Amino acid sequence: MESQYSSVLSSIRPINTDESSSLSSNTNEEEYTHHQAATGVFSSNHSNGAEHFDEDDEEEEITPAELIEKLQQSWLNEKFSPELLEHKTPVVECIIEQIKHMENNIRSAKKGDFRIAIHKLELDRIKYMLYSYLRIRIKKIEQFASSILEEDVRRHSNIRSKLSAEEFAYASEYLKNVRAHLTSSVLEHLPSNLQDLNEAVATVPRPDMDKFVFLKTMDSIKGILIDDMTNDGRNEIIDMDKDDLYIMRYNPIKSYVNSGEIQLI
Amino acid sequence: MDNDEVEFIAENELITVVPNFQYKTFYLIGGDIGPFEPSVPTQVPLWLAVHFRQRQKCRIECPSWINVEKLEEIMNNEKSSDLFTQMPNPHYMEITNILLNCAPQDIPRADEVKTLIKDIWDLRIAKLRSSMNEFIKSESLHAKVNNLTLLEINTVRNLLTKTLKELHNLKQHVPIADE
Repeated sequence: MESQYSSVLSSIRPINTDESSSLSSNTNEEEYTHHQAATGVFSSNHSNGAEHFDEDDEEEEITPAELIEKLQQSWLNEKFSPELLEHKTPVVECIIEQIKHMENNIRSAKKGDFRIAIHKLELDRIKYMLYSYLRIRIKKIEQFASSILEEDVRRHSNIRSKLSAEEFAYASEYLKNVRAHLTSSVLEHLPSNLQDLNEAVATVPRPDMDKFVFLKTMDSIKGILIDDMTNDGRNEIIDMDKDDLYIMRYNPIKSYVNSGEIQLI
Repeated sequence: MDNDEVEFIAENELITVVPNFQYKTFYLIGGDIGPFEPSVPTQVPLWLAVHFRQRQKCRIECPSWINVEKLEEIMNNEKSSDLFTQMPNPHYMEITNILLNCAPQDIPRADEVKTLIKDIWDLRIAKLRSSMNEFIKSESLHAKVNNLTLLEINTVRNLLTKTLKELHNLKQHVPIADE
C-alpha cells in the first residue's frame, strides 16, 4: 500500500516543483497566471483520475471532492463509533497533500488577491475536519491503549491493523510511559508482592460496544441480527433499505461500518 | 456532536447566489466554482455564499422552499401526519437560520418565515419527544427514524442513547438478580 501511495505522491510532486518555480518569478501578474495554470492542470489531472489510492486492495480513482466526502464520512464514523475504526491513512495523506499544494498556491498568489480569503476559508474547513478526526482517534488510542495494542498483536497477518504506523508508535510509547509512571509513583512504594502492574490493573478499559448509535444505510442490507443480550432470547432479524435512518446498538452493525454500507450520523 | 458541527456540515449544501462582480472560475479543492458574471445566478456552497454576502458581493437567491406558502403547506402536512414528514432539505433549520442571520433582506417575508420554521421545528420536536417515550416503553431493540434531520437527531442524541444504554444494562442484569 505504501509503495502504491508513493506513486501518487510522485504524480503530484512535479506540479509542486513547477509551483515553486513560479514562486521565484518576478512580476505578480505572471505569477498569477502561472498559479492558475498550475491549478488548472492539477484539477484536470484529477478528473482524469490521476489520484489513485489503494483501499481494500482495489485500485480506486478519486477526485479531491470525493476525497473530502470520504474524510467527512470517516470523521463522523470515528466520532460516533465507540471503538477505534480502521485507519484511513491514504485518505489523510492525500488530503494533507492537497492542503500543502493549496497553501503553496496561496503563498505564490499576489497579495490582496480576492481569491486568497476564499481558498483560506476552504482550507480552514478541511483542516478542521482533519484535525478533529485525528484528535478523536488519538483520544480513543489513549483511552484504550492496552486493549488496542493487544488486539493489534493478536490479529492475523492478513487483517489490516487499525492503527497507522504513527499511531502504533504513539500508542506503544503512551502505554510504556503510563506504565512507567504508575510504577514509579505508586507500585514501587508498595510491598513487593503487590508490585505487579497487570494484577493491579485488573480490568483494561475497553470500548463499550453496546453503545446506541444513529446510523444511515448507504445500501440495502438484508438480515441484520439484533440480539437482546439477555436470557429471554428476544432476537430480531431486520432488513434495511437504502437511505434508512435507524437507532440501535453498535455491536450488531459494526462490520457494516467498516465496509462502508452503514454511515454513523 | 456539537450543534455547531451540524451547522458546519449544513454549510456544504449548495445555494444559488446572484453575484454583482465578475470573476473567473475558482479552483477549490472541493470542486470548481463559478465563473461569476454580474446578475447571472450560480451555485456555491453555503459557507461561500455567506462569505460573499457579508462582503456585499452577491444577493442570495432563496431556495424555493423558503417561502411562506410552501412552509405553511409543510406545516399542515406535519400536523396531519402521525409520522415525520420529509423536509424539503435535510438541513432546513440550519440553512434558514444562517440565511436569516446573514441576509434577511434577501428573504421575502423573513419574519413570517422565521416564525413558520420555528413552528415546524417545535411541532417536530414535540412529536419526537412523544415518539421517544413510546419507543422506550415498547422496549424495542431498534427504531427506524427516517426523515429526521441531523439537527433533530442531535438535540435528542445524548438523552436517548444514554437512556437506552442504561435500560440495556438494567435488562442484562435482571436474570442474574432473579437467580
